[in-house]
This record gives sequence, C-alpha cells and structure tokens, in this order.
Amino acid sequence: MKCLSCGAEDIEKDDNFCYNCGHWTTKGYSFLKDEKNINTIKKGAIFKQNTRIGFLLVLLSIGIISFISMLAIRGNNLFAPFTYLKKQFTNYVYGYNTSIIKTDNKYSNVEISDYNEAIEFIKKDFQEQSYICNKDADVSLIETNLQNNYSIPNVSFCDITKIEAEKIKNVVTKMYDLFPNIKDGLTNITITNANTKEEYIARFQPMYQFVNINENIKDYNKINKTQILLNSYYFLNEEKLNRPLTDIIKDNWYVKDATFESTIAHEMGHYISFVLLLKEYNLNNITFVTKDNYKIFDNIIEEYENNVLSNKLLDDSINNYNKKYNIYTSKEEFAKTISDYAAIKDKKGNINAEEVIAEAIHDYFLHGNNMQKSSHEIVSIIKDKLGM
Amino acid sequence: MKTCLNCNSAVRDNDKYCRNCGCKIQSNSKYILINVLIIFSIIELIGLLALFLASYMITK
Ligand SMILES: [Zn+2]
Ligand SMILES: [Zn+2]
Repeated sequence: MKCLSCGAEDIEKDDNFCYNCGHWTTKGYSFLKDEKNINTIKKGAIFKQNTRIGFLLVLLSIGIISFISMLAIRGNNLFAPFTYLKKQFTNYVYGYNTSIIKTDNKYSNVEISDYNEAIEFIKKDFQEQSYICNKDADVSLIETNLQNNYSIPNVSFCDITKIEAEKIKNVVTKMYDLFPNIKDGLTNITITNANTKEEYIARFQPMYQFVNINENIKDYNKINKTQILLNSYYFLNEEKLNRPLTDIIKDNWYVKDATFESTIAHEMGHYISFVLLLKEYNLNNITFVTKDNYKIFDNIIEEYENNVLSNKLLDDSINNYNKKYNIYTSKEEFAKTISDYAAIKDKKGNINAEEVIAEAIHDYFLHGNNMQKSSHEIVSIIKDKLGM
Repeated sequence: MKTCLNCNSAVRDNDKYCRNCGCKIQSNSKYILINVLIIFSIIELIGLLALFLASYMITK
C-alpha cells in the first residue's frame, strides 16, 4: 500500500500511520474514530513529556519568583550562608581562625562631597562586611563605646572573644587617657587577615588609599583610611594569645612586660607620632582628599615615611637626655635603653626614629612614670607638642 | 530492536513515525534531559529555601 499523503510505499495492512510522514492510513482512520485508542496514545510517554515541559516551566518560574522575593526580604544577608561556609572552609584549610573582614577594599567612581560622607562611606564598607560576625552583645557594646568615646568611625572586633575585646579596649582606652588630644585622626581599628600569618601582631597604616585612587582629583574627591589593623592569626586564636609573647619574639625585643595587646600601644605610638606631624600642618586627619589638599597630604606622607619629624624629635630627646644627665649617649645606646626593637636599623644602618618613639610610648603605656629615663625624654617632648 | 517511546511498539530502523500511534520517532535523550531538569529544579527550590532559612540562623 501507498501513503495517502506522501505516497511512501510499503505501508503494511496493520499500520495505523505512515512511517514516513505520520499521516493516518485507511486502517488508522477507523482506529482514530475510537476515542479509547486516542486516550491510550495520549497516555504514552511522548504526550506526557509535553505536560512535563509545562511542569518544568512552572518550577522554574516559582524558583525565580522565590529568589527575587527572598532577595527583597533579606538583601545581601541572603548570601550570608555562603560567606559563613567560606569562612569555615578557610579556617579548616589554614588550620586557624581567620577573619572575614577586609581592610584593603578599594572603590572607584564614587561621588564624595564632604568629610562626613567620607566617614559614612568608611563605616558602610565595614558594616556591609560584618553581617556574619559573631555578635556578642558585650563585644558590640565595646566597639560602640570606643567609636563614640574616641571618635573613631569604625571599630570592628568581628569574632574576637569578649575577654580579648575587653583587653584591647583597655589598651585603647588607656592610650586615649594618657594622650587625650589625639582624637579624629584614626578611621578604624579592625581585625583582619595579614598577608602572611605572622606578618604583624598589630599594624598602623597612616594612609590607605581607599576610594577613587585612580581617578583624577579634579573629577573626584578621594578617601584615605588611617587604620590600625589587628592580625586575626593572633587575635582570633586563643591558643596563640594564651602563650607568652616571648614564644614568638625574642626576649627584650619589645619593652619589658609587653603583651600581645600592649603591642597595640606601640602601634598607637606610631599613630601619635603621625598626629604630631598632622598638627604641624594644622590638620586632624588626611581622610577626605580634595584638589585643594591632596598635595599637602602627599607631603605629609612623604615626611612621615622619611621620619622627618621623628628624627628631629629623637635628636631633641637625646640632647635633653645628655644635658640632663651630663653624659654622651649615642642614638643607638639611647634606643637600646628602651628595647631591642627601638634600636633596629634601616637598610642604611640608621636607627629608625619612628620605632624608638613608638617603643618609648609603649614603655610609657606599660610603666607610666617608671618608664626608662630615655622614654621619659621622648614622651615629655610629645606631651609638650600635643599641648598637654 | 528500537521501540516507540510513546506506545512501546516495535519500530523499524528507517521509520520516522511510529506505525502504531503516529508519534514522531525520537531518541530518548530529550526525554531524559527534561526529567533531569525537573529534578534539578526541585533540588534548586529546596536549596533556595534552605539558604533563606540558614541566612536567618547565621545572622541571627
Ligand atoms: Zn506518508
Ligand atoms: Zn508508537
């Protein structure tokens, strides 16, 4: 038999449809007249497949709608589980607790029109990162108090234990008690991961170029951060903090009685030295950069990095010391009386005045008026310059 | 021997349509694909719900 529609040959007498074009045959015509047959065909897998495509589309639509609504309800918090898992994974891979907070984010093409907006932008960057921090109410309170009492825009102790946060708070509080007029220069004190795990315990960063670094200053104002970083390798791992500091550094490296937390006083010492420099320029900070001040800020950083002011301060301190005790002490001997760290030399073999000053302040923090006589000379010049 | 996906009757090698039910002869890969996609969509929906609930638990 031939197909009625396409003329294909060899249609068998039992065939309901043409094998070539699918048209019904004579037998197929009567076959189709019976509704039972049609129902049987429609129960077959191919027909079901079409219903399944519909089902699939419904599922996909539900998925998209749910995702959009969840995102609307939870915002970025919706992705918190991923960040959490990533944190757990990194902790596992590294074998110690790490921080989720990054202090080296950069932003570009941001319109910042005044100092307050700059401060708000810095705060926002940290707030957005801290949504999965372990929010111990007491730790949050410590952060807020430090922020408010010493006008530090952001203090982030994310995941630091309450005991440790308390210790850090005591150091910072005592430093501001000893030097009340050093406020408004720091933008943040923040836990973060160092590049290498033991790179530092705490670190002072006078100028971190944060917003619009590559933009032309005529088009965009910029933001710098002046930050103190706390290394998560130590501050998030109790077993490391509970060891004596001398387990990781040589005896007498820092001033006597130094602890992990007191090294923050050393870093604040660097900050104080930076504040002295700012005061020479009648500035409180270098946070908000405009076309009118960027050159001055660049100068300040260059002077700071070349220890211009700290060298002079150190020389004056040594002179006073020598005069007072009627002796001759070299720079190195003078620094050595404070600590080994104070006496470290730069590549050219010169004593690093910045470290001498930071260690003298560290000494003052730990021992008050019982500090070394050498530290005393440095601290009294600093107090004088700060108008205390 | 090949069979029709729809009615399971035997299909000859060069047939384009099933001689019994008239359905177009197709390989079952499309059929499998749709079912796999359905399973994935269901898993995705469950995952999304889990993500939503977990985000409340983690951020408290
Ligand atoms: Zn035909
Ligand atoms: Zn068939």
